[in-house]
Amino acid sequence: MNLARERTRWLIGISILGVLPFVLPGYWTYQLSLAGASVLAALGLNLLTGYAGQISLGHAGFLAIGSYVAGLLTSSFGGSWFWIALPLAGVITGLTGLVLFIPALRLGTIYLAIATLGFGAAVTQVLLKLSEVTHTYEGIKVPGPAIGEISLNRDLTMYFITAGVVLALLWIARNVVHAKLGRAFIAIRDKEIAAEAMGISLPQTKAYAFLISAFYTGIAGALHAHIVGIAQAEVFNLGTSIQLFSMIVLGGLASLPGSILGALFLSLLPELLKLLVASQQYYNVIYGVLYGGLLVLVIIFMPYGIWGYLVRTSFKFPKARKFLTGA
Amino acid sequence: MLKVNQLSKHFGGLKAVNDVSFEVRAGEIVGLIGPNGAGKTTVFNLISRFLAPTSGQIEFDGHHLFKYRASQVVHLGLVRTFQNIGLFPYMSVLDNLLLGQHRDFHAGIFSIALNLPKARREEALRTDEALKLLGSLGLATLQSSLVSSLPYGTQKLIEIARALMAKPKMLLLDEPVAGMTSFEKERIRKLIQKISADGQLSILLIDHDMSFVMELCDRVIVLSFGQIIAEGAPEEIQKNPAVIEAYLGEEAAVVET
Amino acid sequence: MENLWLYLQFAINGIANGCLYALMALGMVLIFKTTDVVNFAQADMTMLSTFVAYTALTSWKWPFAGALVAAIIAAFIVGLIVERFALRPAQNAPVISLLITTLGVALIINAVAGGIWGYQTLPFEYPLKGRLFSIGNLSFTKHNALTVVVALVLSLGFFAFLKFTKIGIAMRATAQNKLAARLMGINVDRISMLCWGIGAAIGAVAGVIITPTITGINLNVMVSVMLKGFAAAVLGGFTSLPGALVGGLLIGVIENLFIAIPVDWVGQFRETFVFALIILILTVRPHGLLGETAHRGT
Repeated sequence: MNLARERTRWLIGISILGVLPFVLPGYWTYQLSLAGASVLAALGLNLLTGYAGQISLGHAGFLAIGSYVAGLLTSSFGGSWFWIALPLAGVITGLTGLVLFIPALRLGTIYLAIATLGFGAAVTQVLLKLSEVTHTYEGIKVPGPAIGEISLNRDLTMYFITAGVVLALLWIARNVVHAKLGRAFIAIRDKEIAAEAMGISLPQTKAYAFLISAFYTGIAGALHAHIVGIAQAEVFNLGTSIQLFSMIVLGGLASLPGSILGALFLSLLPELLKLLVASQQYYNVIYGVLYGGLLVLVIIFMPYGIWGYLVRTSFKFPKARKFLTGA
Repeated sequence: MLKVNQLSKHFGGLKAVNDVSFEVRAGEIVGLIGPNGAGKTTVFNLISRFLAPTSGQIEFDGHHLFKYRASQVVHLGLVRTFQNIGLFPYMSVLDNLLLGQHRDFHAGIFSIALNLPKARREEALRTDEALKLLGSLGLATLQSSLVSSLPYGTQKLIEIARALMAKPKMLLLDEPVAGMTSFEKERIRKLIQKISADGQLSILLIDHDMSFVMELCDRVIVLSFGQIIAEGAPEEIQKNPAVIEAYLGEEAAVVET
Repeated sequence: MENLWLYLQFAINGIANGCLYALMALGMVLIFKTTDVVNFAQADMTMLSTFVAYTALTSWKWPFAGALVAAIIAAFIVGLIVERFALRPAQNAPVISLLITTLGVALIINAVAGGIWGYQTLPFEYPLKGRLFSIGNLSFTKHNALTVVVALVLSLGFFAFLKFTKIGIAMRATAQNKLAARLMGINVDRISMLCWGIGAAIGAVAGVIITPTITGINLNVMVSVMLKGFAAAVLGGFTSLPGALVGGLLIGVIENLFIAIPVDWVGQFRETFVFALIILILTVRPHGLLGETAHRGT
C-alpha cells in the first residue's frame, strides 16, 4: 500500500464530496445523502458477506432497528440528541447483530440465508406491532439534527454529516480489512479448518463480523431516518435486503470500492432514469428490465463485479492500475 | 514432547485408529507411514483436535490436549499443515504468513479500527519477520503474489513457512512432498533439516515417499488398519517383515526404492 | 371440544396449503440440486405462468384444465430460456452471485408482466367451489381435495420419473457429480436446462391452484408462497426432494395452527413464529430434517 498514493485518493474523494452540494440542485444533494446511507449499509454487508463469507438476506432488519432507535430518541428528546442517537443506534444495532451470529455458528450458506431472511421479516413485524402500540402508523416523525436550540438546514447538514460518516467508516473498514481481523474474515470464509489450525476462533471471528456489519447498517438506518425525516418499518423489507445484496455483488464482493460503486449505482439509477423517462407506466417497465438486465449481464460479463472488472482491465494500463489498487 | 496413549477412533464399526500409543521426543523427526487408509491422517486430525477420540489420551508439552479446542492447539506450540494445502488461495503470500502469527497479534478491535500506533507497530513488526523468513527461503519476490497463482511445490513450501511463523515447538506435516518433482522434494528436505538442526523443534510427518521418509527421520512408526505394526530406526523398518507384508502388492515396489 | 374441531379444520387447510408450498419447494430443490442455483425467480416465473392461465381462462375462454396446461407449457419454456440465456453464460461467476442473476430475471419478468397485465389485482375464477364432504364439523372442500391429489400425483409421478426413466437417471447423476456425469456421456447442459423447465412447470401448477384461494392474481402474489416454499425446502434439507415435501407440509400445518390459536398477538406474529421455529429446528439439525450431513472437508 503506497501511502502517498492512498492519501491522494482520499483527498480527491473528499474534495469531490465537498464541492458536489454547491454545484448540484438541492434535490440531488438529498438523493446523494440517501445514496451515502446505502453505501454504509453496503460496506457493512460486504464486510460480512464478501469478506467473512456469511450470507445475510436480513440486513433490512438492521436498517429498521437503526432508524427506529435514532428516530425514537430524537423525536422524544429533540434534534440536539442526534449526536448521541447516531452512535447509539450503531451500537444497539450491532448488539442485535449478535442474535444472528448464533445460528451462523451452526449453519451453512443456504440455511443461514433463510435464517437471516426470517430475522428481517421478524423485525418488520415486531416494529409494525410497536407502531400500533405507539399510534405511529405513518411512522415516527424525526426532527433534523440541531445544536442546542439552533436547528440546522436539514438537507445540507445531513449531506455533510453523511459524507463525513461515510468517509470515517470507510477508513475504519479499510483498517479492519488490512489487519488481523480482515485476514481472519477471509480465512474463515475460504477454509474454516485451516483457519482454526492457525488459531483463529470461529465463534469469535463470526461474532465480530456480525457485530461490525450490523453496526454499519444500524448507522445507515439512523442516517436514513434523519435524511428523510421519518422512521418507518415497512420501508425496510425483503426487497431492501436483496437490493443491498445486489449492490455488493454488482460492485464486487470483498471489495470496499466495489461496495461504494454498487451502492451509488443502484441508488442513483432510478433517479437518473426518471430524468429520461417521463411516463409512469413505461418507467416501471423500463426500470425493471434495465435493472434486472444489468444484474444478469454484469454477472455474465463481469463475474467479479464492476470493481473486479475495472481492476482486471487496468492490468493493461499500469498507471491506472496503480491508482485503482494503490499497489 | 508428544505422548499419545492408547488412542482410538471408531467411525461406526470402522476402527480407523485402534489403541495407538507412541511418543515423539523433543527435537526428534518422526515419520508416520502406512498403506492408504491405515489411519495416518486420522491420527493427525485427532492430535490437532479436529476429531474427538473414542478413547485415549494425548499429552503435548505437559498439557492434556483434549482440554483444548482446535483453534487453541496452536497456542501451545503445536502447528500442522494439510495434505491438500491449507493456504488461503485468494490471499497474498505475505498475508498467509501473517495468519501463521495470528495468535501473536494483541491489538484490540479499537486500535485496529482506528489504526492506532499499537496496531500499526505490531503489523509492521510481524510483516518484517514474515519478509525475513521469506527472504531466507529465497521467496522474497513472491510476497504480494496471490497463493492460487503459484505452483504446487511452492505452495507447499509456503505452507511450512506459515507454520514456522507461529514459532512452534512441534510441527505436524501431512504429506509435505506428495506430488512433487524431485527438485522440489529436495528443497523441502533441506528446509526441514535446516529448521530442525538446532534440536529445538520436533516434527511428526506423514508421507508415502519412502526414500524421503527414511532419509529424513530419526524414527519411523508404521500404521496398518489403525494399529501400529512396527516402530524403530529407518534401517530396521526397511527390513521388518511385517512392514513389507503390509505394503505387499501396490506399494511393495516403493519400499525397495 | 369445539376448539379441537377448529384446530383439526385448520390442520386440514394447512395440509392443503402445505402441499402447494411443497410443490414450490420441489421446483426449487430440483433446480438447486442440478445447477447449484437458489432460484429467487421462482415466484415471478410462477406469477407469469399463472397470468398465462388467467388470460387463457378469461380472454380465450378456455376450460380450467386447458388453462392449467397452458400455464405449465409457458413455465417450461420460460425455464428453458432462463437457464440458456441468463445462467449458462454466467457459469464462471461465484455461486453466490448466481443468486443475483435469478433476481435480475425476476425483475425483468415482473416488469414485463406489469407492462402486459397491469398493476391491479385481477379476480381469478375457479371452477371447484364448495365442500366435497363433511365429517362432523370438519369440512373438506373440493379445492383442498384437488390440491392434495394434484400434489400427490405430481410428486409421485416425478419421483417415478427420476427413478425409472433414462432422463430421470441422468438428472440424478448430474445432481450427484457433474464431472462424472459428463464423462459418462450425459449432456449436462441439456439436463440443467430441462431441470429448469421442469422446476418452473411444477411451480406453475402450484401457482394456478393456489391463486384462487388468495384474493386474486397480481404481480407480487407469489412472493410469500415462494418464500414459504424456500423455507420448506431448507427445513427439509434443501438437497432432499422428499425433504421438500415434508418441509412444505410442516410449514403449512404449523402456520395454520398459529392462525387457529385464539390469542390476538399469536396470529399477528405468525410469520415470526414460523421463522423462529425454522431457525430453532435448523440449529438442532443444521442440515435440515432430511438433508445429508456433509463432512467437514479441508
